[in-house]
Amino acid sequence: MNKNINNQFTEWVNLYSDKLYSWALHKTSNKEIAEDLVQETFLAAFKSVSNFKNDSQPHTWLFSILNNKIIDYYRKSAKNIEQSIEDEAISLKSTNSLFDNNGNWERTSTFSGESSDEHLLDNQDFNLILQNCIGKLPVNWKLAIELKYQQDIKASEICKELNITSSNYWQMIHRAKLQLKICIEKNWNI
Amino acid sequence: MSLLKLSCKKATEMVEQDKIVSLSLVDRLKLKLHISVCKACKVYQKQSDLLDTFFSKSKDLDDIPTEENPQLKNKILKQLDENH
Repeated sequence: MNKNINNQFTEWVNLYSDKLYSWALHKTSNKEIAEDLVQETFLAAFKSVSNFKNDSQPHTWLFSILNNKIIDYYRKSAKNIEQSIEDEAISLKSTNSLFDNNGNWERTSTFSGESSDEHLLDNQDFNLILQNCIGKLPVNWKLAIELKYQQDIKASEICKELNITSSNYWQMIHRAKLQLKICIEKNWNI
Repeated sequence: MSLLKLSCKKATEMVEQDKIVSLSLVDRLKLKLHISVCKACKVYQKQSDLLDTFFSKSKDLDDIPTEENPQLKNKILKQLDENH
């Protein structure tokens, strides 16, 4: 039995560790953290192999464990209150600078967002820039985005987790998108 | 008329609000009016949709290029070997 499990895990590591590592790197933009998360994923999987149902795909199971590890990593980082407050203050200042005192746009956008820009998402360079910009968001804004889009968690649960009101929540998503707009406009020249 | 007036900051915030909790009819009308006359906010709305598409799309392992890491592979195999 044990030997079988070991053989199975060796096969899974050989087949999936690169893919999982690439995903973790894509999400954390940090080589060491990505490696740690993948290691922890296999270790957790190994310990809970009895939960694995043979009718499901092993990579789907491993991927879901890794995604939970990534969210936990964001949660832990967000708890580093001093750093996250500082990062948030800097980002608030930079997004405020987009508007004048009356709340109207200070300058026009260079990143058009026209319908043809749908193709932007097929552009490898644009994707890399965007991913890099996401990596620079304050960690609690990033956590809000991860919970909203990756985990499909309900708004009310996200507010509870982040300890914010629902208006704080959409303001946070608004700020995060403004910050991404600034970052893309700075790095993406058409 | 001032009741219908929105700043761009508020209008773009309402774009996000509407995606999470639906706006009231009055607010939706205000937003629609603002966006119909404000090119920069219309651009924001499209950018916001584009980001939503990106976030929802990049959910899958196959969406990103694979980077090989043989050292990590060996490290994990060794670790599993020690733990069995």
